[in-house]
Amino acid sequence: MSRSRYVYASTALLAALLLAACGDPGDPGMPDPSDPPADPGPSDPPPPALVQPASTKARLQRKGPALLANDLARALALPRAELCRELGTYDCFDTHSILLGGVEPYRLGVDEPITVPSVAAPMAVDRIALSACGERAARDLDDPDSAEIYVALDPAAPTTEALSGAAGRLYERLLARPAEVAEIDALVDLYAELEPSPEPARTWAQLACYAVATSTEHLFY
Amino acid sequence: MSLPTWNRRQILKGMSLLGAGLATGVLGRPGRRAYAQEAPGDDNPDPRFLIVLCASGGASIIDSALAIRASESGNAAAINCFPDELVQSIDGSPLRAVDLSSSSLGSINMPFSANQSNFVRKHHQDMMVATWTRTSVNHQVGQRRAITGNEAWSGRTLQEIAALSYGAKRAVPNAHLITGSGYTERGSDDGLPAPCYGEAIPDPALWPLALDGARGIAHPVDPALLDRARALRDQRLEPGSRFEAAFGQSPALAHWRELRGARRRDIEDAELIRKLMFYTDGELPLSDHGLASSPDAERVRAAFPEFAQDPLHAQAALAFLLIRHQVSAAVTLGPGFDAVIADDVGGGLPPGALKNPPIAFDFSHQDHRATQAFMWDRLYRVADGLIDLLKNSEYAAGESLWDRTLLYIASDFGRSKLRPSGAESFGSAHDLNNGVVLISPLVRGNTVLGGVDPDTGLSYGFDPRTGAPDPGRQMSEAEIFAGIVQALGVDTAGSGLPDMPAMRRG
Repeated sequence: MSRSRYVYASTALLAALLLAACGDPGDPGMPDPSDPPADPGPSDPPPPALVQPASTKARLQRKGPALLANDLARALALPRAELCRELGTYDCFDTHSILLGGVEPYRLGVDEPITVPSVAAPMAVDRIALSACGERAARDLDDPDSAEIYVALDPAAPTTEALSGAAGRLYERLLARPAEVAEIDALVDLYAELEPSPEPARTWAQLACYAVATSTEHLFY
Repeated sequence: MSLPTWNRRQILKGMSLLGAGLATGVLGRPGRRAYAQEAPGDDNPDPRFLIVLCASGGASIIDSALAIRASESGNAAAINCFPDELVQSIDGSPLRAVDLSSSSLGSINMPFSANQSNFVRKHHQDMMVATWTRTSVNHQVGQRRAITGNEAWSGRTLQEIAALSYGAKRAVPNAHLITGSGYTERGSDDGLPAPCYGEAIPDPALWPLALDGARGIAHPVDPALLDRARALRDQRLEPGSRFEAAFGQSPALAHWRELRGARRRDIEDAELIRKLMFYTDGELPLSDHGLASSPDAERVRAAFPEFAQDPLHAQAALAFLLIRHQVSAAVTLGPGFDAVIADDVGGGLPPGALKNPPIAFDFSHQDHRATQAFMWDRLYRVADGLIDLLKNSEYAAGESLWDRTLLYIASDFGRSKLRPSGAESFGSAHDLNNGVVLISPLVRGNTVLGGVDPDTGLSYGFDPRTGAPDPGRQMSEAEIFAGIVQALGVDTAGSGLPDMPAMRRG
């Protein structure tokens, strides 16, 4: 078969398959687009909630230092170099690189990420998240006009709307999805628990961000 | 029905592939489980501590405790033996020492004086040398077999065994202060509790910072309030998420939750960020960030004064603190293969400027005798610092931590025994034949198990039960491995390891 005849035959077969997949509009199993939406009667059961099936393999990878740094920098709109510095000097992602699953073949001879996460890894992640989140909170609250996440958050008396809005933005920026209502409620409720703080709004901004940034959903993929 | 047919070429190809698979362990080895059970067994009320001091590159036993005098050998010009005056005898001890000065270390023009006799004289009552013959002269393989006895006990490393036996209550049961070597490879027994596998500590100075999630950070937060955020994350945010519904059963997540929960709390509550910090405000801005040095910092720094320039001294400082605070049951440290030169050297290399020659003991390829002398001196000094610190640290009821510690100087392999006729400066190759140095109140001290033939430089073995020298015998890696494990007080019944009472004290 010549090349042109082969292409024509393939195209025809693909078209036939697409038409078959569209189904017959007269098929009683297919809704007619012109029909009005069905009005559920008072006795009809509510539509079943969407249930997330469990993964059959659940193979997860932990974000390495470079990916974690890039994700945090993008989500919090901070330069990577300003996310976290140990003792004000040492880049946290370099300092804790091996613990975070990084490699350093030349000086340390570590040319593969460690298989099992280090016992210190969650604490290294905590330090990074608290530093980065604290920095974002400080910048937004100190300069509200250019706030990125904590918009219209009155440090003296933040409204529920402002807290909810910030909670939603944390989810969108860190997890790339809208927050569920229950998740926003949970973060808003956190504010009341932080009132012993001398600056509860600032503390809330830091810790709400920390809670999302250190969630397994953010740290694994 | 037609049967498949193979020609002779296909059959040979299949057999070679099968053989290669078996040889490399690809076949017959189950897939590695990264996440085994979470905790070592019950806490052992009679703990021991293991220090593995790695002689990376190949330390030769006949250049230290079993050195040969030229007058003793019928083949003195051809084998690696010393002018009589360089080999020091220690009163009341079969152990020897080489004290040597040189104007250079191979092509490195730095004068130095190496002294082994001070160490042996001071610690010979706790020193035991046992001979053995190794099975590889490849660095990485030899290093691994030095700590697994050539996979003698299900492929477990000595450090993993110590962690399994004595690490139940330890925050970091198996600490690896040297990285990227065969001495710190994970063993091949995947059934051990996860904390038994080595914890990489890439930087002894800054690693302690990662032992607290919040102290000393740029935007400090009240620990009690931080706990509320953690509880919110753990109890409300994560359990209801679709991510959790999809992946909640992942072993990786279960392990992560265990680390960030109970184990993190234990470590933070123990204030290890402070107890293990041997740097002070002189080097790091600790107090500016609400941090402080270890209460032991002063004496640790005195024992290892070059900690800021010499990575081995920094490793040793942290190794002591890990045992001192009973954070670890096993610590592994040693010189790396990189050259270490003091920062403040200007023009030439004055004595002491070079801390570590390139490729460590393996610089013996360039200049065997000087390198061995330099490196043995280097290891003995570090061992001396550790022993002194541990002797002065109480475990309980007047017993010191040293009373419960075994220090194993582990070598990749031995070095070749021959030299060009009468040469004092020569290069050496790798050799299977060698011996180990163990220093501990737990071993039969002031003892040489086996011996050396002065005419060949080759070591010979001993009776595992009585310790009597046996010139017709070579000790295997499994036997010496078993002796170390048993000296640590580990029950090896059912392991298949030989019984080595000659290596145990009492």
